[in-house]
Amino acid sequence: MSGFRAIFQRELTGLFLTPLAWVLLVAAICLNGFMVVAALMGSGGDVDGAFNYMLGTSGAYWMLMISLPPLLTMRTISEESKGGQLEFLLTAPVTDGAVILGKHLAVVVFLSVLWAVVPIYGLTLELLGVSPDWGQMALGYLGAVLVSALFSALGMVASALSSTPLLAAFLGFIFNIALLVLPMGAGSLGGTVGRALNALAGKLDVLTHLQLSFMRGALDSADVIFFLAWTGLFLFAATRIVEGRRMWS
Amino acid sequence: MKWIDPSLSPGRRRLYLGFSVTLISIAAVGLLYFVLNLSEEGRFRMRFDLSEVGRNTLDPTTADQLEKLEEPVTAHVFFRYENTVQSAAASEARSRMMDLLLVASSMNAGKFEIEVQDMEDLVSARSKMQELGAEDQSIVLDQGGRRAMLRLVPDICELDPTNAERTQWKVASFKGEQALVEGLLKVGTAERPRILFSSGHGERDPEGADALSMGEFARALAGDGFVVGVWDSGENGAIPQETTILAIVAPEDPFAPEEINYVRRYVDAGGRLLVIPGQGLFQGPGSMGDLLHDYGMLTQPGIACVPILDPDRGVMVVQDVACAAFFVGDNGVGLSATHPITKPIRDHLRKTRVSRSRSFERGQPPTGGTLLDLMVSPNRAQGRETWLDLPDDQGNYDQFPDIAEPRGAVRLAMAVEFPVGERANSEEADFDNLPERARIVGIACADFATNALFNYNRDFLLNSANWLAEREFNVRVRRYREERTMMDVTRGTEIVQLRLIAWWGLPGLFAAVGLFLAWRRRD
Repeated sequence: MSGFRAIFQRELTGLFLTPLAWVLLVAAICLNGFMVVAALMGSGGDVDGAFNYMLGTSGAYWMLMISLPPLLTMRTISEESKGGQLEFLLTAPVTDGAVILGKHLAVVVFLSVLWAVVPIYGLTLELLGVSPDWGQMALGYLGAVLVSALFSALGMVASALSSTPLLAAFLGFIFNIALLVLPMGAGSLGGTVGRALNALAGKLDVLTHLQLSFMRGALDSADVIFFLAWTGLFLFAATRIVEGRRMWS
Repeated sequence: MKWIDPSLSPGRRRLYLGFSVTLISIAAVGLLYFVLNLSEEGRFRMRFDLSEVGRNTLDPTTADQLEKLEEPVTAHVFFRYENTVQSAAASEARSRMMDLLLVASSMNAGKFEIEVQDMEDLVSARSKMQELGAEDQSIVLDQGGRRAMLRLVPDICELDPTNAERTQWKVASFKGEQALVEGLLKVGTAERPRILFSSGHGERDPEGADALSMGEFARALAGDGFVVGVWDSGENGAIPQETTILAIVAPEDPFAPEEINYVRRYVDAGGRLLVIPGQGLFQGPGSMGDLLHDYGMLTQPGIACVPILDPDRGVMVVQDVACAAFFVGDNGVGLSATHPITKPIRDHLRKTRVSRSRSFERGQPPTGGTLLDLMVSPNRAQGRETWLDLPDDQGNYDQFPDIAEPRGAVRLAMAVEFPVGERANSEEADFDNLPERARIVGIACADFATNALFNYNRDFLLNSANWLAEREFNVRVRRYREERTMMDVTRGTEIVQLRLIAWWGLPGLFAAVGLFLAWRRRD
């Protein structure tokens, strides 16, 4: 994939040098910090429960998950398209796929750093003499990274669809909410249609795939493939959209 | 899309573009669906439990049983929150059981499904419970119509009070995995045991809903995986070949000699019999007392009575109709400690209840057979002797302990097991699929299986049916672990240090790095 590495490095450097990215990072770390203490106090000291809360069951986790990726991905294509840099990039000797993949991976790495604070709290507790369930923690973290990758891919689609960064962020936000809510809605329907929709919703249910394995400390190949496959599909869609835009113009 | 001819008109190019995008989108979604389906198939799926306590690992017995499932099993969950002093403990047990079901379901996608019933929707919940023969706070495992019910208490867990006032309760033992395996074994048995209720002699109605019918017993049997039917000798003639258990419950009209012969031939060939003699017809020709006599259970005249407490005077009194209705099993007394029918009831400190019960004397069991007392009335109640109330000259009972009436405990239920082929006049050729040992459970109380007493006697009756059908699954699996790491948040310095790091340390560090980079970039 020609040019992938160069684009990834450029995007990653760009992300870590953007004030917005650091503002988001510090805000998320503050929120996580308050959450870990609150979860421990609220559960009477249940360490594994508290980390589970931070890596999947809390509302704040999902709020960060659906809002942060679009804010980071909005600039990847949309902003560059608005500023005219995208045209240069697409005429450079790199494939469209490499452009999308490089940008996406940079966002995922940034989000991985953000979620890494949770294991750091675990390490802190370990040093203080309270040992959390590291297997469960590691998989909870992996789950968070995979969900971030999926939502970022959806953000890339939104970014590719719009030339206005804010609109791209808003679209990405809506897409992410839809991805979470649609399976729940389908699950509540009855009858034959409901059952058919329910079966389809099972192929799209992010929450269940996260909760039944990663959050329980189990690594399930089907759940890993679920996240990778959907991420791949959205990245493919983003690539096609960018390609289509070029053809259209 | 470089294959689109640039020489085409813009309109055609757009058309081609739209067509190719649609085609590629459909192909991509189809491929995704195929990959997801493939990844969920058992042969391609891998699952590793990385939790330190093995939270996602079932006992090998359970895993093996799930693996061996030939048809999918659905676990219908009828759990709901109840606002009682046991709420917290019951919630914990329910949550642990749901976790266990989720693990079982994840390990066996497609083979083990969970269906949680919305208990807020009372109408549909009741209808579903009735359809499956389920009880409130239970799980019904269903495999193509073969069912097994797991009750929250005592099948899944035991709850114990933690204080003398019994205002706080805890989960004393969680046996969810064991209950699940036993349930799977029940539904996994290819043949569903068939229980036939005799009819045509004034027996209790197995479909009736009134207090003296036994519709609830029949429904509970269906819920436990039995096929329930009726045997009417007038219509069906001899007992059908595929009968697992024949139940004769409180007949008040005599059986014809030919009918008694059908039953004898069935039992002597290894058949299984549940017999409750009628209240009026308990002895004499054509009665069940007459039949049981041959197997060592001698039905006695008289009604078992115990003195009762008069709440107004605070003393034990007799000569009250209530003396003929009493509980058996206070602190386990009166129930056999070893027999599979009564041991679980005794272990769980449950009781049975009888009303106007006859009694048995011990006779001679068939050769090579074992005759055991299952249920015996109390010897004394609050220091006063119990007695067997005999009828007066007019056949009436006064519930008063006359001098001539026997005192002390009497046998209320018995079980006998004996090898076939030992009995004289046996005609085994009639039945070719029966076990090599015959089993009979005799219960002396005609009302024992009625809807009025079923709530008290459910365990005894279902255990009896399962013992008769040889469905005793004494599975032992390790305790499903749910240990969690706890931290003392009320004392000690850990939480203070964590708060410092979480609230100030890490945010401060990241803010400093961000500011440093911004400052460097400005330069």
